[in-house]
Amino acid sequence: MVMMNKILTNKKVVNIVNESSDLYYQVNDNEMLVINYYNDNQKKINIELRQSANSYVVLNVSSIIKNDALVNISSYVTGNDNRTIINVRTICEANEGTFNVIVKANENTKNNEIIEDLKGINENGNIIFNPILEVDTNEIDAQHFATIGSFDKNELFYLQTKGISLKSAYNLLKKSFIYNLFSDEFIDLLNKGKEKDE
Amino acid sequence: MLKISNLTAKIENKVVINNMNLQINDGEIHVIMGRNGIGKSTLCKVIMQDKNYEVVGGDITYNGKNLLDLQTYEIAREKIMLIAQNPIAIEGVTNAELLRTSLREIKNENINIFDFNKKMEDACQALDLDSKFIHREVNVGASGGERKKIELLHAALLEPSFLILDEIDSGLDVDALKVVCNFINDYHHKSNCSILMITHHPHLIEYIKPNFVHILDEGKITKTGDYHLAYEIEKAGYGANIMVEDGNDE
Repeated sequence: MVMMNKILTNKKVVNIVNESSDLYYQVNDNEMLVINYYNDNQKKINIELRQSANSYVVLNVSSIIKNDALVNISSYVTGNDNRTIINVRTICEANEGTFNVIVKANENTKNNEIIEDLKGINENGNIIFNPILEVDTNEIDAQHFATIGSFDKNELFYLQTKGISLKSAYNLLKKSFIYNLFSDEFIDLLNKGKEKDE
Repeated sequence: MLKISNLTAKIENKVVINNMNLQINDGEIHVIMGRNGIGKSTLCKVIMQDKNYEVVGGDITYNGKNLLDLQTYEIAREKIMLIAQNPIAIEGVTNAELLRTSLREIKNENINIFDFNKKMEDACQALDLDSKFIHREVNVGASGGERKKIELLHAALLEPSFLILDEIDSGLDVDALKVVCNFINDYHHKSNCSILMITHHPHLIEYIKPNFVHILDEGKITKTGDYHLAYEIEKAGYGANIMVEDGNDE
């Protein structure tokens, strides 16, 4: 793991729910930024991040796809001592969802760390992950992971043995998967929003 | 009453249960023993209609209702509960959330949170289980013994009338075994539930005295006796002499 050289002086958390406009963030030097993005009917969105020096970004994207969706995430690292973590959790209930996740680190940059972790569940649709790392430097720690699967049948059986209907079992597992990235506070916010809608 | 009549079930084209018959009356405790891989756990899962297994003949009825016509969750709502040999972990779903969802669906009404929490706490105390497990993800990070206790915590809240215990003693240390068995005996005494236990070891039977012990072999019950049969097996093993009696399989 990359050690940050200087202490981060500022932590900001941004929570975004069901946003359809493109998002752009320039992360300040010595700043930590956590972006929690949730969309329960994902369509098209572009998210762009820029980091220069000693900054730490965590982007958590959680979405449910019901119609064709295209999510473009681009992250540009132009300086040293930065950490970039991009987590995606998505469930495709119908049609197709494509996630292009590109992180670029400039030449001559040093001591940066990049992690892309993309997980998807295909319900009745199709998920395409394109995780791309474009690094023009040797002095970087970069990893990407992408997995696409379906709900565990053993877990569904287990929940049903407790009297929970198959539909509710799916909903429980769906919620745990989609909310997995978020803090309790953001989950409370999402649950309150759902209660209002109901 | 649970009645299994001429049941045949297979998995991946291999017959595992072969024309089995078994009847468990209300309040009775039955034990099934047999060699490894003989189909004991399969029977438990077939009763719960695990879709990995295909029933190709016979019937399973509970209080007159044909379980083969029901989905797993409907069988559970008939108050039949399976505690599997190796309960799985479910990330992201706490025990409290699972039980609230379960009770809400079974009873079709809102749960009294105060009573719910009190019942959970009381059950944890009876099971010598840290109450922190109430709000932890189901079986995540729990040892084998803790998982068995967590499953019994679920039983305390869901109040089954028919308990299927698949090797409840596996993974339990001496003290945990006593606690678990006391809990089961206490629950049986209060609820008069029926119990079907799978075990390899007579020490479990020392704590939970069964009405009947059955030997499962070649897909069917080949011998039935009282708890002394378990000791005979421990002494003599599953040799030919012990396995068969005069075709009595109920």
